[in-house]
This record gives sequence, C-alpha cells and structure tokens, in this order.
Amino acid sequence: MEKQNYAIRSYCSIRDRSIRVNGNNFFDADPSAPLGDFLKSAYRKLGVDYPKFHKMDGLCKAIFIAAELITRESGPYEQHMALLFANRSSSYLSDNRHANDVFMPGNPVASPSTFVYTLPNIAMGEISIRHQLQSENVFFIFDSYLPEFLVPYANATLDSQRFERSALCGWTEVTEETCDLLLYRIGASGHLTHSIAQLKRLYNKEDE
Amino acid sequence: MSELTQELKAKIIVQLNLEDLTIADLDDHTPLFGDGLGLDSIDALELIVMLDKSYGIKLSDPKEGRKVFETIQTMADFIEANRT
Amino acid sequence: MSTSAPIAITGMGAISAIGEDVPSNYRSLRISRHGIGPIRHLDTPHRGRLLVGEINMSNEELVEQLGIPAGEAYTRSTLLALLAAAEATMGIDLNDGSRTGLISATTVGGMDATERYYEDYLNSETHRHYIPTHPCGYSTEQMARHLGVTDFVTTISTACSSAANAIMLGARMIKAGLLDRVIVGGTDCLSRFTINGFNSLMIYTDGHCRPFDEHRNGLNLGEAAAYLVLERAELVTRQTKTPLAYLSGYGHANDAFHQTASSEDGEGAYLAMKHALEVAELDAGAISYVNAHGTATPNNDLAEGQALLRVFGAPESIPSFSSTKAFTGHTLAAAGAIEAVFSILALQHQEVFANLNFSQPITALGIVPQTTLLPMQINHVLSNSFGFGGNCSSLLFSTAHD
Repeated sequence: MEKQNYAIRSYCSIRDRSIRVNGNNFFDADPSAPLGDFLKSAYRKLGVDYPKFHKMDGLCKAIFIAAELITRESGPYEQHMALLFANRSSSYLSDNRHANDVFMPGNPVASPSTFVYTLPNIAMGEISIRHQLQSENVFFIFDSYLPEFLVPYANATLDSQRFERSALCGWTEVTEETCDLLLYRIGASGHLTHSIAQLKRLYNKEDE
Repeated sequence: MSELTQELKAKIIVQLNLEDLTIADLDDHTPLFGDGLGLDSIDALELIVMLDKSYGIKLSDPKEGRKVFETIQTMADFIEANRT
Repeated sequence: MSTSAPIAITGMGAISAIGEDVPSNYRSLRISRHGIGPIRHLDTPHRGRLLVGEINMSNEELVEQLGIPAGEAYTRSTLLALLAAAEATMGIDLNDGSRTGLISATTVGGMDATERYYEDYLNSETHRHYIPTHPCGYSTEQMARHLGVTDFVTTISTACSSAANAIMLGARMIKAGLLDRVIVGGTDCLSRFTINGFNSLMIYTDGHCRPFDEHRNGLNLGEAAAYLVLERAELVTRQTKTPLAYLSGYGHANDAFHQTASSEDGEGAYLAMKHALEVAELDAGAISYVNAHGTATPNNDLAEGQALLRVFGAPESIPSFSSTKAFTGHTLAAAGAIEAVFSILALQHQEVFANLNFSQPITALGIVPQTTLLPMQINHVLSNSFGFGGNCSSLLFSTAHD
C-alpha cells in the first residue's frame, strides 16, 4: 500500500458566530444572534443563488456555506472527491423537530421536508447535488472531534483512490444554537500537512 | 377568490421556505413545478400536508396532486370546490 | 497488499419477519413464505392500515430469550441486534488475541423507547434508566459490552445503505491492516417516528409491495437485525476453517440528484455496482444473481432497473435478480445486512430466491425478475442497498466452494 503524505488545501471554520476561511475572517455576527439568522446572513454574503438553501436544516446550511467557501478558495471539486464527515449529535436538529410534530397528542402531522433531514448523510447528499459529486461518503458519530481516527481513515481513503487524490473532511456539530464546524479539503498538495497535530491546531484555533 | 389566492401565496412561502420570494413575486398562473417556480416532489408532499391541515382536504394519491398544484389559481379553485 | 484479496465471512446471524435465526429465514425463502402482515406489537394509529414485516416477538420475549436481567434498559433494536450477533459469533472465540471490531448500523437507535417513555421521564423515575439508550451509538456500545469487543467500536447511520456501508467499512479496515476480525451489520425496529415520517412521504403501498412490477406503488416497512463476521482470509486458512462465503467486492457512490429520489438513469446505483465489480476484478458476466434493493417504489425500481441495464448491457444479459423486500419488508438500516445473509444463503444453497407479487414487467425497462425459487449454479452475487441522500452501495459476495 502506497504511504503518502497528504496536505490540507483549504479549510473553513464556523464557530461562535464567526466564519473563517484559511484562518482569515469571512463573516462575523454578534455572538447572541440566533444561529438561523446568522447562517442566513452568511448565505446572503456568499452571493450565491441557490433557493434550496432555505429548505435545508441548520446542519446542512452550515456545511453548505463552508463547502461553498472552500471551493471558492481552492477551485472546483473533483467528481470523485470523497466526503468524510463526523459529529456528535447526528441530525438532532431535524430529529427533534420531527419528533415534536409526530408526538403531538391529538393530531400528529409529519412534515415531509423535515423528515427528509432526519439523517446525517442527507447533508452529504446536499453537497453532492450542489457540486455534482458522485463519490463515496461516510458520516461518523463520535463523542467529540477525533482526528486520531479521521486522519488515518482519510489517508486510507485517498490511498485507495485511482484518480487525483481528494477528500472533503470535517467535524460538523450543529445544535439549536451552537455551531462547531471545521471543514477541510485534502489532497496531494497544499500548504498545511494533513496530520493529527495540524488538525488539532486548527480545531483549537491556534491558527489565529 | 383573490383573498384565497393571496392567503395561499403567503402560506406557500412559509410552508416551502421560499425565503427569497414575496407575495408580490408570485403570479396566480405561474406553473409551480417544472419550469416555473421549480418546486420538487418533497414540496408537492408539503402542499398535500398543507391542504389537509389548513383546508381539511385529504389527497390520498400524490399523482392527483399534479393537476391540483399546477398553479396558485388551480389550487384555489380546487380548495373552493372541496374545502370542509 | 492486493486489493483483490477477498475477505472471508466466517459467521452470520439474522432475525426478521420471516425467521428468528438464519436457518428459519432460509426455510421461508425456500418456500416463498413472506412475513408481511398487519401490525401486532407496535402501538401506532397506523395499525389496521399498514402491512409491515414485524417480528412476531414482544420485547419481553426477546429479553427472556437473551437471558437479560429484568430491569435493565435495552431497546428493541438492541435486543434484535444481540440475538443476531450471538448467532453470528457462535463458535468463534473473540478472545483469541486477534484485533476484533464491531461496526453496527441503525437509524432508529433507541427511538422506540423514547417515544414510549418520553412524557413519563418528566413525571416519574420509573423509566428514566432508558434515557441513555436513545442515541444510535448506545445500542452498539451495549452490543460491544455483551460480546466483549473492545478494539474498535463504531456506528454507521446512512439510511437504507447503512448496513452495507458497515460491511464495507469492516472489509476496508481488515484490508488496511487495522483489524483481523470484525462483526458488521445492522438493526432497526419499527417505530412511530419512522412510520409517521415515511407516511408523510406517501411512500407506502396499502397492500403487499410489488418489486419491479409495472403497477408497484410503494413499500412495506419491516424490522430486522443481521450480522456477519468478517475475517482476514489468511487467519481463516490458518485455522483450517471453511468460510461461509467471501466478500470480494464493494462499491459506493453518491447519486447527486435529490435527497430522496433517485436519478432517472440510476447513476449512483450504476457507479456503485461497477465499482464493486472493479474491486472484485470481475466482469459483469460473472454475476449469477442480483439481490436488488427493490423497495417497490415507482422511483427506485425504475432507477435501479436502468442501472442494471447499464451494468449488464441488455435485458437478456441481466442475471437472475429479485428483491426479497416482499418477504421481510424494507428493514432500513438492517436491509444491507439481512440481504447480505440472503446473498450468502443463495451461494451456499445454489438457489435464487423469488421476487414475490410480480405480474407485469416495468414497461419502460422490459426486465423480468425471478419469480420462483430457482436452483442454479451461482459463483458471485451482487447485493444492492440505496439510501436517502443519494447514498448508493453495492456488495459482491463469492462462493467459498470450488
């Protein structure tokens, strides 16, 4: 098996109502702003025309924005770029909304558009549709961000790819009012090494 | 009739998360699916839920929906004819 | 390490609406006896309307069969999983020093308990010990404790392709040298959360589902649990065991079309099947049986049928294929695993299982599934599982016999 070092080509973090790309500020809001409003404003700042954004739940919206920023920085995504995501709460936002709808005593009415999002991999589906990716994707559930697992797993995935090595990886933990997101694109070349130590640095905001 | 079409436009914008649109943007005769507003199959299902919740009309066959949801006007006509 | 080295399957276990272990599942498949019927155990307003593939055992009966002390909190998905995993690992020494992992798939997790006890939690202490059972991962951790697996434990939740992805991940971890042995599969029980959700998608048929039929109009839900034990092939040879079968290929691709509908030409399905063939280093002509995803929705069967035509070339070149969802219902996160078991049974017994409730081919495709039990030589089987979010997976199983 080929052992190669991979690099981080570009990364985006969304945390505490602040969006940064490659360590540089993209958008800030007051920390007390509701998460929904913050993501909507960020979408408007992106200047993208994608009305389906508004139908997505918070998890998908946050990932959409980060994926959009990364491709702007580092070029179009390869069709076979693997998606390797992880979080702690899965699709909790939508799960909760759906549960409230159907467990309502008397008249439980499910909303199909809410139900659709009660799976974490729908977020990967949304990114695939937006960027026309026909690649493999996986969504792990961990207690907390775990580069110790994701780095070797991503490396093994890239090792097994036949064309240009490429993956979009991230920790995407989104709840009602908090967003703890770090998304990064890896490939054969880039300005940061794809390593556990490096990702811990980025996650702990040591690049600022 | 126009009160109902106004009401429908407002409801649709909320129900289908059409945030970039206002009531003024929605024409009574624009096709909702296909080339017009570009709604999809999940939107169609949401409209079926809305028909039930807001107007007491149950559509059991999603294919029936295709005719009913052609435009705001066809929806309003259908509701007027069938509401409970 | 050669990418074509197959993975040995040394154990399997299953519980579904057509049987409480692998032999009884096989007996039902053989005589085309399905398990679809009215809802008996789950308390839901849809009782009396929907037909499902429900396992005819109450939670109390499952607890008794497992010998679990009363008063401990186990959700139905976990109970089903424990039974299937116990069958799969029977006779295998998990403490022989090999690095052993557990990868389980579920979408329901502990939701069945949560929906029963949620309101109660605030008012009384009686059921609060169920609170931790809610998340998907908890079920897997309970399984790991029961089985004594500590080297690697994780959960995959990607809708209807979950178990196939769990199997794929297990195989890759063995090939990457990270594990020697891994228990892989999935479990999902019926729940109000899921039944109501699917109902809002108007995706059910009122009667029995009719996979690949021109007049199909929706699916039946089901519940099941199934697990395989995968091992490095050299380990197996060293122990002079004969595996049940081999996992020689797997593929995964995103359809990139819509959150819940498949693209018209079945692109994701096509790519997944092609990739599975590539990993196995086989031509399409080597496949004798395709156990299809075949949910009997108008959309899936058309897209999957298109994908089959694209992989195999022409209607007459498509090997015998069937969807066994008319037996078990669509068991969601367990589907990929229960159908893996059925694919292995097909290899062991050299039989293709029937696609029930079929009378007219889909006009746009002109392809006909196998509608009766068919004894034939089978060396390689493809098993498809496609999930919401365009998540398409395909597994390729091969015979262990010469």
